[in-house]
Amino acid sequence: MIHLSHITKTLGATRAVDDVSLDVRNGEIVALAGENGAGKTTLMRIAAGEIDADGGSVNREGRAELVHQHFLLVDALSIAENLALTHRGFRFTTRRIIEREASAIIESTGIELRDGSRLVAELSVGERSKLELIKAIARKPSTLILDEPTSVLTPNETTELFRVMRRIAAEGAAVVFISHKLPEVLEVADRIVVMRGGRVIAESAARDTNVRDLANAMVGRITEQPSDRATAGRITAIVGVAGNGQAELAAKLRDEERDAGHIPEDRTRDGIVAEMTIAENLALKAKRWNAREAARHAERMIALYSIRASGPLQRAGDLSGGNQQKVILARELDRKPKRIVAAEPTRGLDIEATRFVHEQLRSAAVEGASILLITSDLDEAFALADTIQVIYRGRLSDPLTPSEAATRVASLMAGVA
Amino acid sequence: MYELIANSIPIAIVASIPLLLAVEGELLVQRGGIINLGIEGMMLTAAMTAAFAAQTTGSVTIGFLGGIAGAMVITAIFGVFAIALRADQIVTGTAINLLALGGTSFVYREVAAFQRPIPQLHTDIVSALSWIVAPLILGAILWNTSFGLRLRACGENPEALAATGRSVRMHRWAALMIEALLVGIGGAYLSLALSSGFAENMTAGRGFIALSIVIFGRWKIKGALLGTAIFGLAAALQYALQAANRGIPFHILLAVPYVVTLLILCGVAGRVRSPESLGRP
Repeated sequence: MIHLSHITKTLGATRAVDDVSLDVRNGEIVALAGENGAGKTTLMRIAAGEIDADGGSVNREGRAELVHQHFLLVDALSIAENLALTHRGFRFTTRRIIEREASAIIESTGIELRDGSRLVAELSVGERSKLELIKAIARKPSTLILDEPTSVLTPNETTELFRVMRRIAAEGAAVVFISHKLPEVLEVADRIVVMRGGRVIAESAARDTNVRDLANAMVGRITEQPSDRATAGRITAIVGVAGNGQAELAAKLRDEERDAGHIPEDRTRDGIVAEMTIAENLALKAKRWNAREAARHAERMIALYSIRASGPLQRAGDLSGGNQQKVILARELDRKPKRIVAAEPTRGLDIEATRFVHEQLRSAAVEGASILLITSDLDEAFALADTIQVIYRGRLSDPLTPSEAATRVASLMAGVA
Repeated sequence: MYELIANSIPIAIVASIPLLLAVEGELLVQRGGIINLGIEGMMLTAAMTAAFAAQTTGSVTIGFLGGIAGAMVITAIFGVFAIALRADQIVTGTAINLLALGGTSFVYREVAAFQRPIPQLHTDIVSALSWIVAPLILGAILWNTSFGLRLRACGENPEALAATGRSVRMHRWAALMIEALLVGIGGAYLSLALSSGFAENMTAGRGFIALSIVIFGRWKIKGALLGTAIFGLAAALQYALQAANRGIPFHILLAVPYVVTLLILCGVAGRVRSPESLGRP
């Protein structure tokens, strides 16, 4: 059980958590949903006692275990040795003893993970996340918090994880599931809490809500209906689990549609030349080069796209990720191309920069461009696209409307439909 | 030639004791993620404090204790910077070496006690300690204790250990103090048993050779023993050949131990994989 009341926390200049109160009762699975940067992880780190809140109070009954999104495992040690690291005090031991203890621990958690003598370095990502889960459950927490546990799991592994979560809850622990994947949230949670900008925006029982309402709460505005849009051009989103052919598709389009505006997935590798100035980067696609003209153009773009830079002659590599992306947008969109291919245009960007990129793509569509948005961020697809297609093993599904997609996209992405 | 080798073995065993103890200590701390480059300075300081303690009290035992104490003080300075203040370990270690070289030379010239006679070493338990007891104990610590497991985790992924609520710093301090104990004994052995008293820069690069043996021995105790044995034997042979005067230029002979050690250890076993977080503050 955890009881959080009026928690606030400021990280750097942003109010990461802003006056949040939350109760998680024993035996209950609560999902914490929200976009990246909504404050979910920060709130739960406070709940688990990893960091202190600036204000408010935390009440915990028993211990809370937070399973992090990134693994805290020692690659060079075996499964058994990683589990033995949690042992307190000094003792003599052998590999045999450690491995026997490990298999007992693993068995007690009900999670399947064979052969404790294997090195963590040899495990698959799914097996590593199982090991992290075993580590946490073995310490018999009264509150178990999982931070985006499904992002690296296959559908089968996700089902197994949900089974374990339900059992842990049935045994009397409180379970918190941090996720931005709405279908999963609806599937496993008893209650869903949506956070945005550090605040709790919505809270309801899972049976009383649906993907659309949750998506609206997460994104913060009513997702526009296709009919509301001044659709001179269209935005088509290609969604899918990473590695299903998105990169190949983007590369193919880059070769075939040379006149289109291209926003590449890896902005530091394919988007900008870090060693060159903003002015030079902006002029990369210009027909001719004139230093003074380029600087004047760069100054206009810096103002127009509100690029936070010291001036046209600043090195592009010294800009933040969001501002590098703005330089790319300025170069690719300012020519008013009829066609735009944007691959993961907001990956790694904060909320503000993400919003800016979305606005630019929307207004380009309004002005008549047809946009292909390749993204692994479903929220982004739902927020922008009027048509959604799922890519799975290199094949595209039929075009779906957002409301069709809401129900079918998860199974299409998993390749089971 | 066979006679030459046979005669060199007992000399090699004894002469490489300070080197061996340094290798063993450095292996332990590197498993915990720390590169202690100051090992040369630690040993030099220990050699001096051991000689001083022995010469003023007339007791070999107190001499050895003095050596250990000297090594521990210098190691504590290293630890404060490298562990507590998270300074760069390479820079800190280099500074320790310079400090020890200058400091010991200065003290040696200023203090009259170094002119007194060195007490005689009657029973030599250090060779058994360094070649048999210490490797067994270190192996047991690293592979058969919970402390050793956690220390290895410190060297690979300290965040993982910290996440279990254990202190990475305490484990590294403990390893560093065990190293100081071993190097202290080694330094004392150098000035009390292998020579008659302290001399300026008498460690003559043993600390640096120890560092490379740890690496070429792939952070394994067997590798450490083998590497030290090969180096020690090659060094002893080299002296014997010089004495025999077979007409080989002595510059080439001086290089032989290094080349032989390098070649053999390169060929011994698989790929090199250092502890993942080695040297990361």
